[in-house]
Amino acid sequence: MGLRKNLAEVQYLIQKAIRDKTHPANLVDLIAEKPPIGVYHRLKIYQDAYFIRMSESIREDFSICFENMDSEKADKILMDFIQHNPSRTRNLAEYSKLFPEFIQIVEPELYEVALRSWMEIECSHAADPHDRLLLDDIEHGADFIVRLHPAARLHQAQAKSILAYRSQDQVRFMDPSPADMSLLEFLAQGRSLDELAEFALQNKISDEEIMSTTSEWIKLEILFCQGKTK
Amino acid sequence: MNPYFKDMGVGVGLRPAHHSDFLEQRPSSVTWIEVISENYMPWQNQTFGKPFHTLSRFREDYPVAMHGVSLNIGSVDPLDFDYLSRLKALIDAIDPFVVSDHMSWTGMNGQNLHDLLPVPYTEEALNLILQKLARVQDYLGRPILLENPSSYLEFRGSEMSEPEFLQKIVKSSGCGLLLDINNVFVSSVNHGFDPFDYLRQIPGERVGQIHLAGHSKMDGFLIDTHDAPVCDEVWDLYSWYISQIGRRSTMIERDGHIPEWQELEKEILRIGAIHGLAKKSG
Repeated sequence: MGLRKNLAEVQYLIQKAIRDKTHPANLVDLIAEKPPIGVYHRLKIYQDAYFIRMSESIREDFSICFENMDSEKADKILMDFIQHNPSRTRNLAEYSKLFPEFIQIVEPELYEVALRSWMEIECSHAADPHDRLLLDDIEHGADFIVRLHPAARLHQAQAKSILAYRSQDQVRFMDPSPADMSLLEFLAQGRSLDELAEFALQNKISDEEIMSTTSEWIKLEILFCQGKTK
Repeated sequence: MNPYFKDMGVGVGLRPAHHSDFLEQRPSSVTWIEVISENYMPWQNQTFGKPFHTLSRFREDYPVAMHGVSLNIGSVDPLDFDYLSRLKALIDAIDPFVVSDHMSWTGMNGQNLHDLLPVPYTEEALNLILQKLARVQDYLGRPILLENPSSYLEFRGSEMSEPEFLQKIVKSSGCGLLLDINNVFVSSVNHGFDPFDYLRQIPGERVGQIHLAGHSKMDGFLIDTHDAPVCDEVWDLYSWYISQIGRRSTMIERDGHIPEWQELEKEILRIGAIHGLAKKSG
């Protein structure tokens, strides 16, 4: 370039200036001065747009975290998050994935709220299973396995387990017991009825109880019946 | 037949606010739709999500143009083949009539600022973009369209104008242009050039698609916000340009203050009226 900076240097300076909200002299010198807008103002357009875009995206995805927070504190949390966690995703929606982990460190009491918000986003985004069998198929003898619905999301922490699932297009939550969690994890990759009976035997659960639980979860779309490939 | 475009008529950048209108009414005022590719691609390490299945339903009724925002063609970073493989999966599944992205960069060192940043118009940037573009088009197995950016700063070290840079890109790469006339107008105000003069330098035979949109007026400059109706100056530029080059697939983008479909449709019908006065392309 005219000022002897190669493209990598120019892009490094611009990216840094946008993320740090600074106006380094060696970058300002590279930008054409054209009235009526000064160079600082031209750079500020990109800086402001960056922080507005990123913070609005997080604020929208985690609205419950921010709803009772004073705006100064919210702005500081958002600014810290954006500065310490540059996006490496191609889709802004996926950037939110990093937020619960961040909030766990800076505002631990908001962690579960943030985690549930992210689980809700993932649960809403997931597709329905393309190979779900209907009751009619099963009654006509189709072979199947019982499997966790692709929209369901399980989170297990030391103290608590959380299940997010999508029932009739609405995301719902359940706090499964350790026994329920163990069954859900067992079904994550899909199990036949024989395997389910074996699981019941090993875990001292009656056949009636396990059938009642899985049937209820199928109704709630936590599980689904998947046609068995031969 | 020009390989870079086929006039598909009048379209719209379909946003979730209007999904139910399209699913329930299938408006006949548009003959195609454009979607933001990244919103329908599989997320990283995942399979296609629910948005893809919604798009598949639209695809039954409309030809689809796929418009990306994260190709990062102007960045010094190498191409992201994880991203490209997910883009290709969507292309293979949707069979769009055109695939496009922006003549800009979005980040370096693996970071993404989720903005469309301007490149300096230098031989170095030109060569980099040409090399990356060749690999992209080879990988996708098709030519793509690149959109002219709206910008708020220019580099003192640029060695050529934006239209000259675009001319060289299309001449050497085999790609086409997605001409955003609002971007031309926004940049013309922000940098003080004549938008008609800019358009005269754009190789019309390589323009495969046209975008129209609104912008925000700030103190002495314009921001490409897509949150307002198309302004009179942009309509005038558009009418004049297609009277010169013939009809092109044209659509309106609206990303903020999105009105009811019936309101947006009034603007869309205006494109059809202007098309009616223009000669057919081909």
